[in-house]
Amino acid sequence: MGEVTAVGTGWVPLAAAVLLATTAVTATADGALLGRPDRPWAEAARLLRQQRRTTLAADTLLGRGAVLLAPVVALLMVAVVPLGTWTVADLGVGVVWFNALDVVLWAVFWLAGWGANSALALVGAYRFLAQALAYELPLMFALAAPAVAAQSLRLGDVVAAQQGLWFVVWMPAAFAVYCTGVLGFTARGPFAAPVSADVAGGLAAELSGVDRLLLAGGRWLLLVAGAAFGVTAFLGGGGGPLLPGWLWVLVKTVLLSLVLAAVARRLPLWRADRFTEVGWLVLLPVALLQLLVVAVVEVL
Amino acid sequence: MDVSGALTRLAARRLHVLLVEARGATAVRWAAEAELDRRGWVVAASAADADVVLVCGTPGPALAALADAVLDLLPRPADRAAAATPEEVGTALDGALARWATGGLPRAGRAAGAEDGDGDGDGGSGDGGSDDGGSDDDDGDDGGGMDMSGPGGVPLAGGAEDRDGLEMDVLHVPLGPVLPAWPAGLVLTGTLAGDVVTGAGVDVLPAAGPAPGAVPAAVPVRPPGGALRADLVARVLTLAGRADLAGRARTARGLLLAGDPSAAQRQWVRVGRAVGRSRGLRWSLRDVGALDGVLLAEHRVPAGLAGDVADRLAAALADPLSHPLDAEPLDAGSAGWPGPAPAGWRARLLGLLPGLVTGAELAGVRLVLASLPADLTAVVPEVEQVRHG
Repeated sequence: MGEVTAVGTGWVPLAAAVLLATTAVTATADGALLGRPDRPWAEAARLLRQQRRTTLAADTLLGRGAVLLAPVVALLMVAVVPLGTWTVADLGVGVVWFNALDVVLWAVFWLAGWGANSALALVGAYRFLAQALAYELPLMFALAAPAVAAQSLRLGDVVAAQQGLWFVVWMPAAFAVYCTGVLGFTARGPFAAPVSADVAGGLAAELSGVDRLLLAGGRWLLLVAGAAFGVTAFLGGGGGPLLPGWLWVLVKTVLLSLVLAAVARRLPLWRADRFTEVGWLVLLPVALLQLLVVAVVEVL
Repeated sequence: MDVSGALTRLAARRLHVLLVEARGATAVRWAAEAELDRRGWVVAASAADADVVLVCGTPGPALAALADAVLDLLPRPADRAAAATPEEVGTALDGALARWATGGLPRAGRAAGAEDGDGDGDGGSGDGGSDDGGSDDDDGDDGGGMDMSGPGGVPLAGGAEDRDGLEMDVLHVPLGPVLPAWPAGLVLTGTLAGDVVTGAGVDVLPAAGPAPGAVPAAVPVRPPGGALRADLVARVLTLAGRADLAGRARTARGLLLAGDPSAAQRQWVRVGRAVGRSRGLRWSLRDVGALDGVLLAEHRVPAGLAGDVADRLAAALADPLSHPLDAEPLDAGSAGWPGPAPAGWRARLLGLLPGLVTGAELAGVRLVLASLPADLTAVVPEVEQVRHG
């Protein structure tokens, strides 16, 4: 695979369309795994048909702005991910860009819960922050591992550095921590406490209609964006036999998203207070050790 | 091309139904959950999440009024259905679906100024109800002991020390009775500091009186103990984030009720195995809602309920679905768990609840209530005294 070409911001609508289509395929396939391929479509149709509702003294601007931001953040994430030989923006700090965006999600999810002026929604919002404190730092160090190995923060260089050997092979711990982080910032599976049934849907407790659709759809888009970045950083990006690079990226992204969604379903909710201990005492040291191994290998 | 019609047909495959369970209507809720599973519909987690309110059983006046108020909180289009018996569930849902598809009920508009004049209930074509101030979900208006008016006329929360001695805003948030995986008719009037319950009172909404002319049943109809245990497992697993296993436990419950105990047992064993394998589940439920065996003995509550939520989940799963104990009559006090269960234990357990949930956070409170037998509030004469106690 040769150099990555930045196609420029004029292609953002196409990138958005690709992200939407990939997400649609993923969600449909995930529904099919459960025996109901029409599930995401029925859910979306239901919410499109539904009116928005408002609560008393709601912070409409921040609440609705936040749910609108969820899909936008997903789009900004994939903007630096090379699709074969093309990328929207070939940033020299692509890895940091992605990391900064997943921190923006702290604000997105907290504000979504804050906006409704409802006790349960706010509880859900704070649960997200509590979990984020536990997964974010390990995630940052997990992201550092491929960057150190490639000796660059540019995603094109990270992909090029994996031409001989995918990073997942010799940094599996970083990949595992990264995947944990993706489940964390999409509030999925063990990290679904911010949106779980025990607080009436948590930060989504008061959302209906298009607001709920944007949040639920946004979380799917974020899962796919997280998977796309994971494919780029750990699974060789567009590398693979026969198929063109761009198709490999899409295929791997769909597969990784499906695996993440399926694994998430089979894990129980992890209580935020207990997971913090795991995050800091297990994941963080594991990510740091992995980084050490990568750094030593690079120096030798 | 009829876009709106196509949307409606697609959406109708996955309606979200908010269940309002009257006391003593456990069997109706079970039928409703089974019917929703069969249709691929969903039990709604909150009013905002729901398209239809389904009242299971015959509610008392207080619960009936609450069901109406909750219906008002649903985003439009929305409709209601009522099923007094398990057999009525299917028809009731069909009726609600038909009305929902053609626009559903308009909003009643409880508060003055709630009308925003854009014609609610017109099938989602409006601008989405810009500001109808009637749908306040918080009921914070009795809160905090401060009379300073906050935004929207709702008083600001007062402050108090939480369990760690930190000054926190305190909200008065009633939990229940319209809540999934929650005992029917139970209202926990809690004070919340953040998500920690710092004080709680228990109230049980009165059950419906006997219908005029009906002969009141001397002993309430008792669901099989195995089904009660399966229900407990399904509810705990739902809240613990294992919807897949909860669905399987509901299947086992349905098969048992349909008179196929061997098929039910096969599902039951699979649930038990999966729960046994899941270390994450045990790790998450460990030490939540611990009931002290000595305390239970003191209050003559079945010893089988002792331990934390993980213990109660394991205990409920330990026995085959058709356990010999399940055959004992209700008034002997059996809960479907091993060990003696003196009559009146439900009321005494309800009396212990405030102490049990104080200091727990919301997730813990929900898990505790889900890990108690589903007929906790069902036995009418036994529980009435809690209201006055």
